[in-house]
Amino acid sequence: MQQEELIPRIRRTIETVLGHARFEMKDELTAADVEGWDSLSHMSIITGLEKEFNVKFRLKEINKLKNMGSLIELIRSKLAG
Amino acid sequence: MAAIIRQATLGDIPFLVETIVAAEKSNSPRMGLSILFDLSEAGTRKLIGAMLEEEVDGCELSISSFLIAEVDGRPAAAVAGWVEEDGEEMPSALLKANLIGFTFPPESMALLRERAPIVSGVQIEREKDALQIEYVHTDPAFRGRGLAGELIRAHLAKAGPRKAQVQAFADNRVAIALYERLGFHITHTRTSTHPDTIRYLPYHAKVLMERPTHA
Repeated sequence: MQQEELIPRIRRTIETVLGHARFEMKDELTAADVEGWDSLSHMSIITGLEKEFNVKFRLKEINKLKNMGSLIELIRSKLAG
Repeated sequence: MAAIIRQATLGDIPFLVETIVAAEKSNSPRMGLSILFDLSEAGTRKLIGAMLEEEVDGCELSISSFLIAEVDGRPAAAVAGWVEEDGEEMPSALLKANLIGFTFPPESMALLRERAPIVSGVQIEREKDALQIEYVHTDPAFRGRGLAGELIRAHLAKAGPRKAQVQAFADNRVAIALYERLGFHITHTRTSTHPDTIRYLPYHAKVLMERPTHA
């Protein structure tokens, strides 16, 4: 899947959980930068992304995520794999 | 007999489950983790054990965070302590969220989505690089010996010079008095304004208490 197609789908999933679009999709973005992305919404974002892309993350994979760039890379590798 | 203070191991999981359940209840009959997810206490205990077995470091559900006070060869008290976002670690709240998301059944997660706004009002963010103290518990048979205080002091000594933080439900006078005796003082109170918070958590307000590790 091309990055141009992947990023809007990730963004839409996060927007649906958080109920707003007040964040910029850049590699350096972390949960702390986004209003409402706390531990409770985080669980919904992860399960929402699994549903959206029909993938299953492993605990070790999601615990290593540093920022949006590593999340995009993880989803890309899951889809490729 | 004097207590031996040691790092927790996989063999301590049954005692750590007791510790987490008792601390989550915070001297009330309500355990947030089971009420919030509509699970029985027995079912929640199994899931807590499963989360500990994952051996994730850097949060309150990490075996590596716990120190144990052992008396006569058996665990008598336990306290978790870790440095928030140490090195490359994610924030502990997200590590815990990942563990819950990975371990709890999908229907529980759906409930959480619905109930999150009810309980989020008492959440206090943990400060990066600060020592976090959590899940303080002494087996009732060993109370009155100062074991919890000894464990907290051991965490403070181990952490190096930095800020130490501990959170408690605002009505938990026993815990707050213990932390005050150890030099912590209240720096912040967070009160939920949602009328249903008390249905899911032991109390509708939490306090943040702080002190330097090396006073």
